[in-house]
Amino acid sequence: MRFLRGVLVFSLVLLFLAVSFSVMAQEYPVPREQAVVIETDTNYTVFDKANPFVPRGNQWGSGWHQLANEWDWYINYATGETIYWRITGWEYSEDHKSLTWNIREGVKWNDGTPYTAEDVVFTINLLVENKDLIGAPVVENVVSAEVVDTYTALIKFKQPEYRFHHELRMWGGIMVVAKHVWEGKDIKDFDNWPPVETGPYKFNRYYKELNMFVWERDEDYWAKEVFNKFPGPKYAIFRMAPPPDIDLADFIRGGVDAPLPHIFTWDMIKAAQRQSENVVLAPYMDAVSQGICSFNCAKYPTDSKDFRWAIQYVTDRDKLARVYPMAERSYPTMWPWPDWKALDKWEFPEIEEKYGPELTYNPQKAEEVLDELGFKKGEDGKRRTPEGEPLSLVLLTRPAPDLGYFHATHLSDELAKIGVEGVVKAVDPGMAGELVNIGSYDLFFDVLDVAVAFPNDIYFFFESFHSKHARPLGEYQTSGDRGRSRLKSEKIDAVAEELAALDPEDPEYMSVAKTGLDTWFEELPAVPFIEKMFVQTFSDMYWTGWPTEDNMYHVPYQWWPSFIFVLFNLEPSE
Amino acid sequence: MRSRLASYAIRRFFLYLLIFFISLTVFFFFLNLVPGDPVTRYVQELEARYGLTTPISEEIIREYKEAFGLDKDLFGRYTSYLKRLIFEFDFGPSFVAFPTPVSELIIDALPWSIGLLGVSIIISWVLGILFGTILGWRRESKVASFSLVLGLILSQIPPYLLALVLVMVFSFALGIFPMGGAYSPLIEQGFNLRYIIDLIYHAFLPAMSLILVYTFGTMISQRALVINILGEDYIKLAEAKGLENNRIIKRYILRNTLLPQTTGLALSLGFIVNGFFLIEWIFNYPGIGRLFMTAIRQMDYNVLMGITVITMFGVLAANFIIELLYPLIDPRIRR
Repeated sequence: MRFLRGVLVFSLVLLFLAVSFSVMAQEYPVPREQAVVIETDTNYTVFDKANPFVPRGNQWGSGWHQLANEWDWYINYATGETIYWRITGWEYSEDHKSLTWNIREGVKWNDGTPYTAEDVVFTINLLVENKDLIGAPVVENVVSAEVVDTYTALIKFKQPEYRFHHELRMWGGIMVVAKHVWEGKDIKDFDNWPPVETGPYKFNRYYKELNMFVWERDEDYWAKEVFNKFPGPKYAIFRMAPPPDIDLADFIRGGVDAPLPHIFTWDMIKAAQRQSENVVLAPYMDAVSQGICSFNCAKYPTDSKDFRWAIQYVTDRDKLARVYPMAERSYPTMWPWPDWKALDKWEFPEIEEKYGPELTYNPQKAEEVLDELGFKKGEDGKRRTPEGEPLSLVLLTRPAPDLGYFHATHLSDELAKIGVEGVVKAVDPGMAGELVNIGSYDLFFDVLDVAVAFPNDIYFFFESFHSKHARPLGEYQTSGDRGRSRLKSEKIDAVAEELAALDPEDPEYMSVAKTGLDTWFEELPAVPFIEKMFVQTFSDMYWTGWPTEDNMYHVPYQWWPSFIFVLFNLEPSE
Repeated sequence: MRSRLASYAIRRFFLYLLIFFISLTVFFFFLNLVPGDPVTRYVQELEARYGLTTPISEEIIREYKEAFGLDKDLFGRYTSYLKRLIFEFDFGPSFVAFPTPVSELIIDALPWSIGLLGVSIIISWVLGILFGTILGWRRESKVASFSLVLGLILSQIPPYLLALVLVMVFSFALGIFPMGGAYSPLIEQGFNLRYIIDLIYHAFLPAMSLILVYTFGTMISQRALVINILGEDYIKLAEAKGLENNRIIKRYILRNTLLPQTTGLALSLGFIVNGFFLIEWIFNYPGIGRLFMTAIRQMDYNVLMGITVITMFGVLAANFIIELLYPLIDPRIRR
């Protein structure tokens, strides 16, 4: 008993020490009320490097892309607004063989040096001359870039160019670097650390073991003077998100302001709302389109467009929208891109009229089509292929709570009703990607990662379905989401090629785009189901001014470089 | 006698070496038979995030494949992996943190895990044996009955579940322990009291998740052993001789339970390590467990192989050492 008493006393002393120490210990290296804490899913492995030209030259999700680095212009997907940021605009020559790039006066690097045409020209020529750098393929059509004057650059092309301006905005383009910093350096070895950039935050410090980067506001940020824009938080902390339950608890007690997107299900968000008054909801359509099912168009029987249409008839979009797990609600959609204003222009009424009524739940029609195609029901009520083999489809998805899992199980149930076996294969995200890459599936439930590319130019959408990306079954796809369906359609190819040679401003452009969409729906390499809504949560315990449902002034949020426009709106909570 | 002990040790050594080799081979093929191509997938992820373009990525893929030996067939990969491991003690570079060698990542993470896991195991084992002995000795008291029920419940809870409960209670509701991490960022790192206290403070909940479960597990088995021994004639004789309770417990009970408890510890090491990985993940603790969980998510094959090899080595080495200690604990084995 004496021993047990001793243990009890020891425990009480320990508890007392813990309570006292918790007052002393600080979770963040800067005052919490001055810092905005942002989450990412990245396990940081690259430190001390901000070189965009070499593999592993920088760390995604560390805040470098989101806070320090800037692009010349942006598109606000929520509103469709074009934001000319470090530039005042651009003009193509009449023959589209040159582009004049007008740089804004007053833009400065964070070391005080002005941002000029010299920087743009230096970066483009660097890529033109060094074919092995990341980003070099983007300038394949560029002959050279030259400085016209301090704030004007001229980019000359080999062939007429219509969409080069997109290369200087957002992901995948040319990240302009400071000439005065990079010139004369060995580009492949240069670390650019601490990074000299034009963004509102400068590097402060990182903690390797804590998976944390700390950024400090640049008090001389150029946009303060030029646009009267200045971020509210003095510090911005990027950290790797802990497991969802822990993250939710931390979010409720104010440990994080902008949790990792998609980390909380709707039920978890409701639980957070019950326990905290500081939960801000910002509904958001996923940047990479909505719930969609891609068919494997290189594999029997999904290589038949009629078969693909039959499958789409057994999808009850209304039901899927009702049981949607990531937000309070969702809604059916027929368009293969998110419901952003910036993309509204591609939703042609004629196409909606033609295919809208067809993209509905109609199991009877599905049965008719399958009968016509020779997939007849046997005595056991199960359908067989015309060759007499059992008709079985692999429905590949990631496990719950991934949206695709709910779609796949729904479709499996519906397929069973019409005598088709739909085997749901729910595998780890990494494995799902592998199986898609080698074409080992019939239907894959995911998102379509092309929408971000084409708010002003639907060419990128058709290009992603071009047959040049389609590899034979079993052969590894190296084109990312492009060609996932392995579709081979001469008509789609022709549309993509025609659009490639057209200025998006050309009157003919919209007509080609419309024809292309008509063909796309006819071919149906993928079926859009419902809008992939999710709710981005923010906490207003320390900061107010987050986007909300009533004022969704900017999307996407913290994982995009355009997040600075949200930070400009933040103010300390009272 | 000495030569018999040496022959026992050598036989056990070769047995463990064989187990190690078989486990390594099985895990290698298991990992490498996963369909797909990790390098291509990794570059595709980069593409998705940075928008790299196809021509350059194919070049990167080719270079990476050569660097990782993935341009060879499965057997070629296996032999070159073994060669590199045995002759150069090199696990290769990490896929995700390329070109950082896996060994460097493991060396960075290992001290955190050894500190946490080592201390937790020792504490839980010692406490479990102590509590178990007391409970067995005083088996009819109310406290003992209550402790038994509590122990039965707690010992069956997976450590990661207990970890979540501890976080919810002590970090979220009471706010007296941190939600995760290994130290407070503002405290100067080094050999100073404040930093050491901070390390203990941060390690407390992860350690408790393991200690509570394994203490009670050991306690229950120890109680059963003690009760069995209490029925033995030599205990009755000792009591009849009027020996002090303390002496009976130390000399006759504890000694006789040490051998099965040591075996139990050796057998449960593998399970403890498994549970420990999730604990580190939950607490965002920068040890081997978090590294392993991250490597799984990113399919960083070399890191997975490296950690598995190290873990297998650690568990087998611990078992081997414990087996070598048997003859010292149990004279029957010496004979």
